Amino acid sequence: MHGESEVVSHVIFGMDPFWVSCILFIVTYVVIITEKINRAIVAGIGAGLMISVGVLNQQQAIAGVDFNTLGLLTGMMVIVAITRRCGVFQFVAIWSAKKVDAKPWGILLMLSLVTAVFSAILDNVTTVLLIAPVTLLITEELKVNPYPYLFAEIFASNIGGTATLIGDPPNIMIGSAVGLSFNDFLYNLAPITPLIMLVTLIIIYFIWGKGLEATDDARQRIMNFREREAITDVLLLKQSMAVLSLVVIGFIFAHPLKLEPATIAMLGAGLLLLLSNLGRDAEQQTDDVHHTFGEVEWVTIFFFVGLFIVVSGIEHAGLLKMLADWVVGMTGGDITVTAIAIIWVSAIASALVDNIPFVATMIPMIESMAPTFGGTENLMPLWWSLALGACLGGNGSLIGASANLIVAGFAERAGHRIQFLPFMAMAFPLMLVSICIATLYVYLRYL
Amino acid sequence: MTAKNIMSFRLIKLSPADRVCDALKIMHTHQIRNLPVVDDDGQFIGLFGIRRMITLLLPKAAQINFGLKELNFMPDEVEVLYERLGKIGNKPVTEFLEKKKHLLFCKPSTSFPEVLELLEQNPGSSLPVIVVKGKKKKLVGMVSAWDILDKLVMNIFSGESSEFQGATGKKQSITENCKVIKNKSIPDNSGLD
Repeated sequence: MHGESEVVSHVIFGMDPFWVSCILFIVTYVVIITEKINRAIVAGIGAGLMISVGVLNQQQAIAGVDFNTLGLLTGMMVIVAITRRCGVFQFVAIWSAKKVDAKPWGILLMLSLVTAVFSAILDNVTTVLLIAPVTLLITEELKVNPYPYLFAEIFASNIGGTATLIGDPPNIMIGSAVGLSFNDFLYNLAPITPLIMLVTLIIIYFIWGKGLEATDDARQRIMNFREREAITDVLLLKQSMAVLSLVVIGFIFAHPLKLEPATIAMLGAGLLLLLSNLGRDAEQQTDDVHHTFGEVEWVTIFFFVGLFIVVSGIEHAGLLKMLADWVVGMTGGDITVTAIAIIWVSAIASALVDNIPFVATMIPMIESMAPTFGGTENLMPLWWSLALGACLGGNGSLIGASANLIVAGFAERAGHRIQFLPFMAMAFPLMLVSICIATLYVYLRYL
Repeated sequence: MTAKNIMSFRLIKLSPADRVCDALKIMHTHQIRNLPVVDDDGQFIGLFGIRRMITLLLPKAAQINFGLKELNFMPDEVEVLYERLGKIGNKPVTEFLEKKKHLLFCKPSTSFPEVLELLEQNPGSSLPVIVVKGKKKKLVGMVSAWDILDKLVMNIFSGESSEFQGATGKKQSITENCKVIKNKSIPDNSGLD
């Protein structure tokens, strides 16, 4: 990888670029973890300093940013921002609740499955933003405690997100950096997620499911919902479903066509913007496009930009190579031990801190292990271990994934506060169960 | 002219222990949209507004930020509303005050343009600007869009009874009859503590 010799030697005051970058990296990450300052601000300043003090030059900084990750995220966010307006998510949630005769456990099961499937195709945060309010409405009408429902949905969103390239940011980053296709993820990660989901739901059934009861009156209220009315714009529904299908098909064929997923997502976003704005005058179009772009989570996007540059800084300075050598030394250069170590360390780290900075650091570190394991093609078990650990680990605590915090926020505003420790007391062991299954899967399939 | 001149100061006030149903009755009887809540020392605690009543009739999932925006799939049932009202009617108004960040405050000495600007910022102008005094925020009055219309705008326009007619009659623009009387004195709330 990149040695110290490549670094342009204009670091201020003649300080060693290695130590300057280490300090900048650690301070940036510590401030991100404390959550006192918005993470995009911290990452942005960290990145600016990495360049200003001369650890990276301008070209290296730009080269460190993975524009494929940014494009894929932005494109999908635009598509979702438009799609959600037609009301299809409410429709599916209510339709599925009525399919099980509004039985409380049946609804929990259905809403979890809906969440998992949506999370696999869309990002988790969007999915729970759409599902949590409907869940609160349904549980309020059913007069049941919303907690088990929201708990199950948090797990479903992170498990579902694990299944695909586009389901969870760690997967997007890994896929983009390593050049893994949508199909690679589908073939390697999707098969294990139904089992993890099933085991999780069985455990949730024994903890809460058995006790869920609703009166016939309350259930009748749900049955009286007219889900068809939830679709507010039939034309937009058709347009967005068509574009979403095209995008998914595009992802499947992207690799043979030598197209990056970001290109597909951006094209899809452009197409849906075009379709939904047909027949509108210039002012309305400007208004709509402005509004849609406003719904893109720019905080996340700029957080990524900053992080990529910060990580690129320590990569150029040689810290990641050193860490990688240390890990290889600890595991004795054994691929099995390394893979299992990565899955467990990733899981526990992702439960306690944001998995995005963790994965951003791990990717170049694992890449630099290639010579030890005899080439990049032998690193595959490590990539799947990282993806499984980082995505599933997000379930371990309320702060493990952004989606968890979104659900907790909804619950709190609706007067059902989800507390940090009681949640973790249930969620952390349950997360470890999923990691055990994942470890077994990686061991049996790849090691 | 300052906030002191234009504000309403004979306010019907609620105490923190008053119940929601009492507040709603007062609103109905006196046709007031917003009632201030003050403690025993006259210190301002919050505002209970009619807008909140509408919110409270909604399911929780629709009340909250980023909650459900479309409810057209819900059946047309009134009983649920009775249930919700029944639940909140006996609770103290302090549980349902307007969010602090929505409230706008000024001092009795705040200049008139500033008061207008505060009212204009206000979403839908449905909330009044609250006039408070001193560090302890003692409530002295409130300025709503109605106060501006009542004490200022109607005073400036001449009192000529305009023959403004509806859709059936001869259309006559009301502005034709309106003459602005300059230097008209504004009723002064001076003498007020």
